[in-house]
Amino acid sequence: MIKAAKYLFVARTSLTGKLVYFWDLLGRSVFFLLVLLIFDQLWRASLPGSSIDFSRTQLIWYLVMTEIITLSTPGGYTLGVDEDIKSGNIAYLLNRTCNYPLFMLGRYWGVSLASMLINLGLGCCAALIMVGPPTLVPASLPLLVLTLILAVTLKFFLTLLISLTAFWVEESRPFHWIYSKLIFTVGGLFVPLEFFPDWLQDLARILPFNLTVYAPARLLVDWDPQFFGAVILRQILWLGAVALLAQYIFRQGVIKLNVHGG
Amino acid sequence: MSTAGKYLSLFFTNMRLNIASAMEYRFSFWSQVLFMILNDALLLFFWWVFFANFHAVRGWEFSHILLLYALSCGSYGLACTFAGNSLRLGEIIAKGELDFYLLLPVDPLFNLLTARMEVHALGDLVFALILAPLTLGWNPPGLAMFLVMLICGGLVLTGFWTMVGCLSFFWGHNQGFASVVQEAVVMFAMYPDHIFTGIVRSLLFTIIPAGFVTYLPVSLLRDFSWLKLAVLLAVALGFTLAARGLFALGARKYESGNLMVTRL
Repeated sequence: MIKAAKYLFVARTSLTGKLVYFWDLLGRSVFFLLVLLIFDQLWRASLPGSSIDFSRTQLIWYLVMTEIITLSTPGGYTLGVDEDIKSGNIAYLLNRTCNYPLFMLGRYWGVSLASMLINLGLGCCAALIMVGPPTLVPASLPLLVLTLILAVTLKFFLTLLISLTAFWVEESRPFHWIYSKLIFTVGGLFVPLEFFPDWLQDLARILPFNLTVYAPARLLVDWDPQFFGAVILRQILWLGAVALLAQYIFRQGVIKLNVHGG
Repeated sequence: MSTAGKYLSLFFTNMRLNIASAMEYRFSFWSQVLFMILNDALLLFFWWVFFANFHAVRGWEFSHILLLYALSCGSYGLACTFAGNSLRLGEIIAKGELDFYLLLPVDPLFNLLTARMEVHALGDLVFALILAPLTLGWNPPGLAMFLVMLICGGLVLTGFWTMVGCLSFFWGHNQGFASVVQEAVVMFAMYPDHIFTGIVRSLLFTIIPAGFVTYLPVSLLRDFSWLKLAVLLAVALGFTLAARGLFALGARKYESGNLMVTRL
């Protein structure tokens, strides 16, 4: 309990620190609005007369959810792990009485929450103006939040795994680019997996990336209790596996860091 | 040596130093270039999925999107390879790091812009040069026109980014705003113009000049007209001159940060 409180405190400090720059965060969210604007225009131009199962309202709200997750959470270098390793700053952080990956998770959640609140407000306002409200099942909201929390946490550990490669390679940035593109493609960032050919859908559903963006967004626009059950189970399993792997790789990396003299 | 020769020599010296500096970390250099090519190829995934569900959108087919991507990636690659500091100009001004360039006996804006190369942008450029023959076919006049379009697009982007960066002379720190505007022009340039209507479409040919980076060049490559070419060349020249004018105006307001800067 005391241990959890420690990391919650890190999250709270990061959240407060981030909210100090409220206007800067708001300014950065303009990018989110531009994405929504482009896709609103694209769906207006292409959906009429097509046989797609999704309405424009569903596709815009789907995008609101996926973009809130991807734009609000630090990805790649912005997570700070790569820089800590390359600059040697990690040597100072290791001396603290906390687990470094969990310390970073606390910081990640604090930073993400600040951006998520702003993006949520802006995204909802923009989507309401563009297409009106989504068809929501009120009772599903707490469960949706749970899926969202697991999705964001899973995304952190996947990013951390890539960042930890900085212990072995001099430039980890390219791996982050590829990861972001996996989220973009088989993660279903812009369109639901149902748009994909069958063979690609099957492949995408096996991989964990769709659990970070597609799954919560799909549940938002088309609530299905059975699908929710399958999603939550897979999220928990993947999260456990990736978190354990990250801890293991981190320990191996620290040994490597010691070999080089720190 | 003539002025043109002097600046050509400065340009090649800066490029040589940029490449030598980047090649110091060979794995980093090659991984950034190769992964950026892969990154760009994966960006086409969305359109591949899109056109598997929709045959065309207002006359645009997948082949047109390939041309659009070749132009947008190529123009971006060209601007960031040969004028890598254009995206960082605002930061350089706000931090007071301009002194180094102002003290040298060459044009400060030219030297500043060419003094940095974004290594990953070489990947964008290579991707564009691979994609162009695939979309246009082995057609030397068409490919030559494509290169002209790339240079025009690169000049428009460099000029636009420079002007946005110059706003730091007047506003101080504006990185948040600048990065949004700089990204917006590239983002809009990667979607077909026909999906945009009304005021948004007008903005793309004025405040956010994505129209001159890809839409007009695509239109020219699909249906050549001397008038369109003249307009594009005039716009590229206009953005270059406007950027120079704004920089000169802003430099008068520049206050040194008395910062000791070492260029390594």
